[in-house]
Amino acid sequence: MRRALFLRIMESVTARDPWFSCRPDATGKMGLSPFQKCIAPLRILAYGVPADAVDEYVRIAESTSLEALNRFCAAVIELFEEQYLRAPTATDVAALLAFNSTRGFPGMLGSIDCMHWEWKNCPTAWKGMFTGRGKQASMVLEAVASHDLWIWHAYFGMPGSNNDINVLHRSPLFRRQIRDEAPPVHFTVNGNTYNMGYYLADGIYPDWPAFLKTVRHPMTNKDCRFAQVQEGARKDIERAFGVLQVRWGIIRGPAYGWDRYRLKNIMMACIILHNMIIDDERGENLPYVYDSNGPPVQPFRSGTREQTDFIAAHHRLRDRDTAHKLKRDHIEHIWSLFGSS
Amino acid sequence: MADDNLTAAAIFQWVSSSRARLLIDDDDDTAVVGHMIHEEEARRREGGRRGSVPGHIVIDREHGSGHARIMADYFVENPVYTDAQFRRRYLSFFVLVVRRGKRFVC
Repeated sequence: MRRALFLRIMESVTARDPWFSCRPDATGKMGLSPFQKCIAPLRILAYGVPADAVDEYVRIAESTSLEALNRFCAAVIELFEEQYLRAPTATDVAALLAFNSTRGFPGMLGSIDCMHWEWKNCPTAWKGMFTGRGKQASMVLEAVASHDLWIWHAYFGMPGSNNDINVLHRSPLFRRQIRDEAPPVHFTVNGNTYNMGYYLADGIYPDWPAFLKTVRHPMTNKDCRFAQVQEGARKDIERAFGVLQVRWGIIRGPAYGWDRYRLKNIMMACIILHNMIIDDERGENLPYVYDSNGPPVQPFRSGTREQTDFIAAHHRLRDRDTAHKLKRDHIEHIWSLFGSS
Repeated sequence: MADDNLTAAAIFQWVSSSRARLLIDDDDDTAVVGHMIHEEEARRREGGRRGSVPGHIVIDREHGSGHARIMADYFVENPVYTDAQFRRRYLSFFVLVVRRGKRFVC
């Protein structure tokens, strides 16, 4: 985070929540300054240190720094979620498709995967529900990331005993698509036209046309090449998780909070700040900028949708035949692009 | 200002001091003071602004010095640390280099 970005965040947060401004107490003694109240939560997020550890440098008491953390996360989400964790607009979709088609995936909107965040202070009564992966309680983050590590979708808070499929069924990832509100995606691959974008996914995800999975045991040269390219491109999401954890010490280690909704706020604030940093430090010579992303998506259809349309959209999303056809077409497409090299 | 901040404990102390006993030899006055203490405690139980809490330690950690140090380190005309150090310490460990259609280095 550059200094200018920090100052911008600090000013917006202070304007949003007057708690951050420097105010006198009943005896006229001045309290903490906005710098202290913003540096303290940032240090906690970035280094994953206990609230008490920032006292020595920032001179802010433990309870005050915890309050600052919670208020800071809430304010960041309220202020910046709309821009920095938006669902892709038509402009975004066009840019993503244009870039991804050069990698051999003309309809790809990103890569999807799940990550667990261990929860050290999970209440004992909930341990069974939250323990599933490993021996510790955890919560699941489902995310979609693109090649520049921008996180397009984040859904956090499902108990750790759920696997990726359970989380997917609860997540709002396809909500816009089912309601026919998402920007339209049309692409042609290997001579066939498709009307739905897809995410690169790993083996556990279901065979829907919205996911493009690798070939599990590739035998032919074409399958091998496809698997190689698909797995190489799917790594985007793993890299995004890696960078997120390096950047935010608090996500790297186990969560020490007691309240799952506050932890959710922390996670979402980290993701939003992550996107803000990416946006801030993007090089000048890059093909597209996220700032002027045009107006937010408007629904393409107004009025109430027929129930039959809704059901049809559901079926289209889950059509196995289309999924298999999509994969076959991509195997051919990748082979024609990269097969010889 | 000191009078406003009389706590229940302080009032009680005042009543029980020998000087107060000389002043208050009336049962009515004792009842009035007892009522004041009662009200004060009820007000505390209701929450809201409650003033200082007896028994809590108060540490004078010089809030101002923390602010002054942050400013001197990073946010004044001639700061102790450079832009690059601020950037590294606050969350940007990665420089992303993207070349179109090529490899992505992180």
